[in-house]
Amino acid sequence: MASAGSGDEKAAAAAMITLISSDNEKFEVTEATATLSQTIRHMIEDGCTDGGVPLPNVTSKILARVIEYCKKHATAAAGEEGSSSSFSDAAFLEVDRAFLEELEEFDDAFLEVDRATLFDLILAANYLDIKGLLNLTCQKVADSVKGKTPEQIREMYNIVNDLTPEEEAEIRRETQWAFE
Amino acid sequence: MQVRERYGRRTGAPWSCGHVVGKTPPPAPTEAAADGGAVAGGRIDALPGDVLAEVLRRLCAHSLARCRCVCALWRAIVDGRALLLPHALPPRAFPGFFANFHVTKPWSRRRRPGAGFLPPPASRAFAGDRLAFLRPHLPRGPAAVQHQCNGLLLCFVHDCLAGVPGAGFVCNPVTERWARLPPPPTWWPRGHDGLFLAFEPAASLHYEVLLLPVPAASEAPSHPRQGGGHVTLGMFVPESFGWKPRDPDDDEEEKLLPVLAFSSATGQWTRRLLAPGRCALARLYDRVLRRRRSDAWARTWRSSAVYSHGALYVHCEKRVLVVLRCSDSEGTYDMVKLPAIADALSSLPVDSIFPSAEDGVMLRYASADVFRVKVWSLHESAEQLLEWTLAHDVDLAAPARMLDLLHDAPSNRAPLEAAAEGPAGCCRGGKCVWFADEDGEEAAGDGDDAAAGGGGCAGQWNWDDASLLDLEIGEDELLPHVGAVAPPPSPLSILGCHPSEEVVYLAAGAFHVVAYRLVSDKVQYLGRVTSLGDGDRLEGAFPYRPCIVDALPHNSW
Repeated sequence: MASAGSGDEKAAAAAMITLISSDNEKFEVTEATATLSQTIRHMIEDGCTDGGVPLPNVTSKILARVIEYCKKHATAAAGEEGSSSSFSDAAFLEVDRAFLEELEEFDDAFLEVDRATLFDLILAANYLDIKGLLNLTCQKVADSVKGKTPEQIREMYNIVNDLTPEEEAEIRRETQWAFE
Repeated sequence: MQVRERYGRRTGAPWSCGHVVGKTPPPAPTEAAADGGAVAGGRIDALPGDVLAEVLRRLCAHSLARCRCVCALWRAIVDGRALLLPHALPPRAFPGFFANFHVTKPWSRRRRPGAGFLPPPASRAFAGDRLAFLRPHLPRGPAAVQHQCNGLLLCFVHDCLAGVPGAGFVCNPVTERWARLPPPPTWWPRGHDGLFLAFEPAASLHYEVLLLPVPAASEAPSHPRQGGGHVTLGMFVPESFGWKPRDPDDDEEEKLLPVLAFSSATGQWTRRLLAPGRCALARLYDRVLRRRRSDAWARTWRSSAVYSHGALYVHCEKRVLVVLRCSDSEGTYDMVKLPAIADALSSLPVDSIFPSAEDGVMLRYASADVFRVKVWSLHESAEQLLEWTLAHDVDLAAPARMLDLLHDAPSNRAPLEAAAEGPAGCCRGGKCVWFADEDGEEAAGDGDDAAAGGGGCAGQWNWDDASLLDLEIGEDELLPHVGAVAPPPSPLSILGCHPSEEVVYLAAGAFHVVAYRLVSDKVQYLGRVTSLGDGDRLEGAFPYRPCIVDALPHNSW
């Protein structure tokens, strides 16, 4: 099973997919990288990737970052698969841990972006249906909201409070425990 | 769903799915903006609802509740997608007991009934009036708590003997929402005997109130004032809806158990006839549903019923456990005798059923015979019969004696009732939080003043970790007390049990609280609950498990 999988991978690695951003920039990526996106995977399965995949919702700047993420995670996934057959258990665990640590470091560095880019990445991850990236970016936003008061959240994200004072009082009464 | 239709606009189930009537999240503006490339531009409200929900879904209950207060869109997302529902029952949350008591006020000799909240004694927390939100709406008099189930309380206003029917309420002290319980098609049973809540937020936000039959005294002619004796004032008599009193010899007929059920989904009382299950002996049925003249005024049902996995376990005073499993219109019941216990005169019970956290154990039953505490487990045998096995048997005489020594220890006392009648907020000893923030997010902010005020007794005491004084039972402590001249220590009674962990809370005297952990066989002293006067009496305590969601209306008038 494992050997068959890696065989496919090698064949797939040769196949290149062209992604076209909203500002008409073309990116050549391997199929293994592109299929991290469920949206593109479905397109490939349907065989409609000839002549490039237009992504009108993603700018070249964001697409470049997304591809950077996908490349890293695709090689990590491939590396993990390859290692499982060739190393002993202990060595495998060692390699595995090293991979995971490296990946974590990469993710942390990857998230060092300004807020606008972060939101664009979320939107792109949502549109391209890349589970890992969506998880990563949403968690980043959730972490920023965590433990903040409503006022702090509004201030941080420039949200206009459109609740009437009565509604706000009602919400606070219903969930008083969260404000104690 | 039905709630929304019934209550109309804002009053329905704010946390049930689809409560965004008239408040649908605005069509995501991003769809259009997305074409333009750089979309969000740093504005979080430009994210589509699905994505924002993905973000909010990752938050813990405390942060999520605060996000509800940010703007209307955020509230619509949190409510409309029922994001708080998975957090309905905060883990390990056990802020205390709701208790019914009689206190004698210094200025009046009359005992006044009341219901209050009992925080962990060692917290020295301000007891507070956790039902304050309900009081302005009560017709008169104090309310008594009848039953507690997964965060909802069933309360009744004390009905005086003047014949005014008591009013029933279902409320959630966390959300401070409540609904009036419409009267059943029969009379309210005397003393609101046999009324229980069934609520399981994981299954449905709707609750049911079950009214179990309270048998009339069989020798009706001995009460000439009551006429024919079939319908007794203030009792739910099985006869009043088609249940026929039977010949004792006639065992052929199927023994059906009549139950009245109020469903919050339909807003109606319906009648259900429960068929006997696999384990329903006719002998026990007769014992439960037949009342001798001698115990005409005794209660039939204990209020410590447990609702778990769709079954209601009810403790009949005649030492029978009744298990009810009912769905829409029918269901079954099982009955099993409770293990024998010693008799005791005490306002708090010396035996009680409580839920079990262990797999395969349906229910626990604890009894205290002076200092000896026994705990049984209810199992379903291979033949699907119900069986009790004795799981724990421990003698707590030594710790009880130590409690006696601690009798006047001035520290760690909690008042039974909020002493301050005046403006609330004065004289707070500690802080009784309903449940801790899962991520401890506020720790940094609140830690300082709590430490400053408590003097070692940190602000947030919990029934879980209050191990002020570990009384581990060592061999030496079990040796007979040499030269015992002191009066014997007060026997133990059962205050209640932890709602989610296997801990029995025992009360000694008036009264020290001791936790007995079944898992480790460890005994911990939690402090003393002081009452205001000699005549004060605690009548019942309900371990309270907060629930942050419900489908109760915001205001039910």
